[in-house]
Amino acid sequence: MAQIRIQNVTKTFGKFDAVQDLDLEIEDGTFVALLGPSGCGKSTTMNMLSGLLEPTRGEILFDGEVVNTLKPGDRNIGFVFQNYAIFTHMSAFDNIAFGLKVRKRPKEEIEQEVRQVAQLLGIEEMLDRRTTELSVNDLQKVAIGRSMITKPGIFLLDEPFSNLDAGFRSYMRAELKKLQRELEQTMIYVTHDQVEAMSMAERIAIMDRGRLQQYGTPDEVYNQPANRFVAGFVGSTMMNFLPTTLDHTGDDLVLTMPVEGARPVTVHPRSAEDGDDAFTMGIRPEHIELVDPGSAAAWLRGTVTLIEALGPRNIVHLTSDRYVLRVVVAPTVRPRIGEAVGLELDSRRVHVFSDASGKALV
Amino acid sequence: MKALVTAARVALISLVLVIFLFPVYWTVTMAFKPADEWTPTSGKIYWLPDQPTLDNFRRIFGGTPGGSASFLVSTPINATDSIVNSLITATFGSLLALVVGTFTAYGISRYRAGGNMLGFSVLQLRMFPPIAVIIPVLFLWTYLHLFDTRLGLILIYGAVTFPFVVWLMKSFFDEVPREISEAAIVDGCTQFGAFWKSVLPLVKGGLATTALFVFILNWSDFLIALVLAGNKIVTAPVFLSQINSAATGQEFGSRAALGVILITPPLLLSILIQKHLVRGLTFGAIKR
Amino acid sequence: MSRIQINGVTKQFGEVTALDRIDLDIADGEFFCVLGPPGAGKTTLLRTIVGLERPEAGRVLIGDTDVTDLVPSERNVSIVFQNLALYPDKTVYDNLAFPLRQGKEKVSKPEIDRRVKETAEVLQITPLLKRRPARLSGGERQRVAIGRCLVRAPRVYLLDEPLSALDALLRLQMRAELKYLQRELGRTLVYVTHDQVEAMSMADRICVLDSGHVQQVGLPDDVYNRPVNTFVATTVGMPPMNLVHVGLEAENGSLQLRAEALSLSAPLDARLEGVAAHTGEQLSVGVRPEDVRLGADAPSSSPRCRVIAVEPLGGEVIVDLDFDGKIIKAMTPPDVDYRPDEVIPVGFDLSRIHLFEPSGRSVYAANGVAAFAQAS
Repeated sequence: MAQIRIQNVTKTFGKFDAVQDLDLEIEDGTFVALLGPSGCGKSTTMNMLSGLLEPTRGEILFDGEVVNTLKPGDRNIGFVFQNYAIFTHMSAFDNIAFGLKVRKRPKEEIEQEVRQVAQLLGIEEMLDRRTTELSVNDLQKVAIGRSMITKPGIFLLDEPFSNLDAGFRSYMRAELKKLQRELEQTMIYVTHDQVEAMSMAERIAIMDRGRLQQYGTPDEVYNQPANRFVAGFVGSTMMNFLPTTLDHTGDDLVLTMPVEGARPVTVHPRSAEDGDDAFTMGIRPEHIELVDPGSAAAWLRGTVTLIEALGPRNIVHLTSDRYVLRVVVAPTVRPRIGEAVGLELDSRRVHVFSDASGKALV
Repeated sequence: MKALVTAARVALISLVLVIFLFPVYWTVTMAFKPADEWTPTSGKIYWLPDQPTLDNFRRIFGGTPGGSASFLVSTPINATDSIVNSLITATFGSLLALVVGTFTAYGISRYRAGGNMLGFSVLQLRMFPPIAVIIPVLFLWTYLHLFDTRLGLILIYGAVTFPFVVWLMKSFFDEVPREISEAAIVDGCTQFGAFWKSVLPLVKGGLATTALFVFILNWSDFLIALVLAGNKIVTAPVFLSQINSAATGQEFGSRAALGVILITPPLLLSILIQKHLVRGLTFGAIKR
Repeated sequence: MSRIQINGVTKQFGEVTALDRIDLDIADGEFFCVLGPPGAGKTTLLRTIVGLERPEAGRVLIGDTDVTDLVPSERNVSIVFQNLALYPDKTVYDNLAFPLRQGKEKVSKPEIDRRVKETAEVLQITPLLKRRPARLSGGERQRVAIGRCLVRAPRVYLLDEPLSALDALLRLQMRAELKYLQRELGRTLVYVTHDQVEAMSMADRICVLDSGHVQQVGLPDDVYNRPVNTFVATTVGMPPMNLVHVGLEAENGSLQLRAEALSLSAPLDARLEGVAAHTGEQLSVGVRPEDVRLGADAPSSSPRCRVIAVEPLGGEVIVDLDFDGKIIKAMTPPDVDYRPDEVIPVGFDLSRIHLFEPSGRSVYAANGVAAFAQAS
């Protein structure tokens, strides 16, 4: 158990700032995901938490104590890597027992602990096998077991499931979440896949180019993205973005998009900023509906260019003027390519971003 | 504490450097020393020549020793022929090993030529020190009329360094992803074309390193040239060992002079290929 | 003419049979996806089509020409490898030009230049022409690899998991782009992947492959809604289809499916004869997560199950439930709020269930018409 505080941490390599001014507080026993594209600084942050790298500026505190210079072995951390880091010359049992053997615990204690962990992970029958005989999926469980055995206060996982096939990955996500709840450990999970972050984490820290973009619950980052980057990054279907101008009328904001035939949209702002010139509005594909192109209530009209039939839903791609938009529809809805369609949107779900800062206004 | 460790490291590295560089330094200075400075029998060790001279160099190219070495009564000697012999045999022997060895290495690396055993068998060739097989080879060479010929030396040099080429080049070829040559084949190359145009450019650095290594081996060979040649065909190392005079025995200065000259071809070669020794060409071809 | 016919192709590596008597007919201009887990034989299939592997048995025909004995360059096919295999020592320009410089028919320099520049335009990589692969991003390298294929204007394009090394977001963006590109080119494209979303999203038809055997070939709609066996059913669709074991009994002219938490019955009619043949056996009921009804949406006689985990994905929520000791997943709209350890009613949309007999083969798919009803 440990509360982690990352305080204004910066990490510079030569002239390059891999992590800039990161400020994050992770409460004891929470499952936090570090999410972002390649090069955003998430792995660097992870390495600083583990002790493999030292921050250039700022402090990292575990339970109130500064640990910047503390060696990884002394930090009481469990690691699970992308490449398992399994010892191939040992059996599964020995791999899991490794941490305890190094700490010179008595044999009976080791035996008991390993069996307990194996039971928790569902691999008791594999314990005596050599690691070369195990499947990729079981190996991953052994890796997790090995990291758990010393009962660390914190788990750091770096894209551990990226080598597994899709079906097993979805199964392991549920298992990991269950495990975290049972052990009540602080778990920090690094990934570039927003589905993984959303499905497992209690809170998600989204990073881009070394900076923290937003730190919130899955619901918050999805429905209240703090800026345009987060809005575009989170979500299994990409958010639609269109340029827009703003007009204040009373309490409302009227958005007018420079798209041929577009009707203005009225939104109720949660906060509005003056001083910015250019704006972009965003709306998720599932918050738009296809309607008859002749409908008076249609916000935009367009021509269908592509249909993705994903199974439980379809995604219709269309062009309106020179913009491309996507709409999520039921799997039975299949307009023809080239068909003219109309779009209606849910104005309560519209986001507005300032082009200059990227920040969300609505 | 850290300072002690650093000081110890510096001391150790300096010691190693001294051990390795001392013979070079001694040879170079010796090459320019007049005869009376050659040995310490005069009582003094000359760390640097007191009276530097080019006499030694003149001596090995046919001049009669003058000055301080005039007491040496010996016939004029000329190292030119031996240097030419060395150049020819070492260069062509190395080329032979490089060409045959590189193709063999490619075959083993790409097509697993010879199954599991060929690579190992080739390497085994080198596990025999040449001295163990030199006599049988002598008989064989004599039978083939290759004894005391340049061709004979070229062939044996090629054979003896061939395993090194295979061993080194195979590891370089192994690092090139197989898909690159496959892409070239799909793009229309023949097997050879794929090798020549897509793979070989990527191992330029390795090839250069291997070439240098093999050349140095052949250039500095003494034993083989001594046994398998030595009458009509004399290579420079053998010639060097024969520079004696009745009066003083070994002529250190002259030998050192020839030694200095013999360092030059490998040195030149390294400088020439230096830019090819840079790695980093394979990055970017494959995704991680 | 870029129709591909694979007739009885078998490929072996020593003792391992990578492809076992594969028969496929890929239509001219089709976007054809081969979907399967690692080791299924997808890459081997691709390599056999391009000519880097020779089958032990069977023939490969491209455009009605038997190409089985032809080398790759004679087949007029191009391939993008999983690791791209760009020539690292050559610039992007030279990478694109390379295929044009190899052919037996010499292509003139200005012609090479024109085609390279044209291809670069299409893929939007013109500003990168002078760079080397090491200085490109993942997405840019991807396009260069595709460009190298495009330049030769082959009859058939083969892509081996080209998006697998890209970030999730980039993958999403490239899907639509690849689809548009293929449509413009109008040529057959065979796309290999283990990611079922990619296959569903882009393919005109999907071939599900496992251990060297073709499991099913069909439209995305077919493999999704009418899978022929449990392998296809659980491979296509994420989260995978839930499978619940039930025992089948026949009583008084009706069929009964029974498990501890589930009890379904249907009058025995002609449609269900295939099912009835397995009376007394253990069948599997297949229901997709989006067809699981929770809480108020579930019929009143539904069993009550404990929530194990809740995965909020933004556009929908996945709820993991303990159904009779087995974990099943339900997909619900995002506005629900279940907590772990809550106990809620769980029902299945009976007009969308499947039945599989013990070997995995499908014996029944409701296809919109419910034959079974919940027995109380």
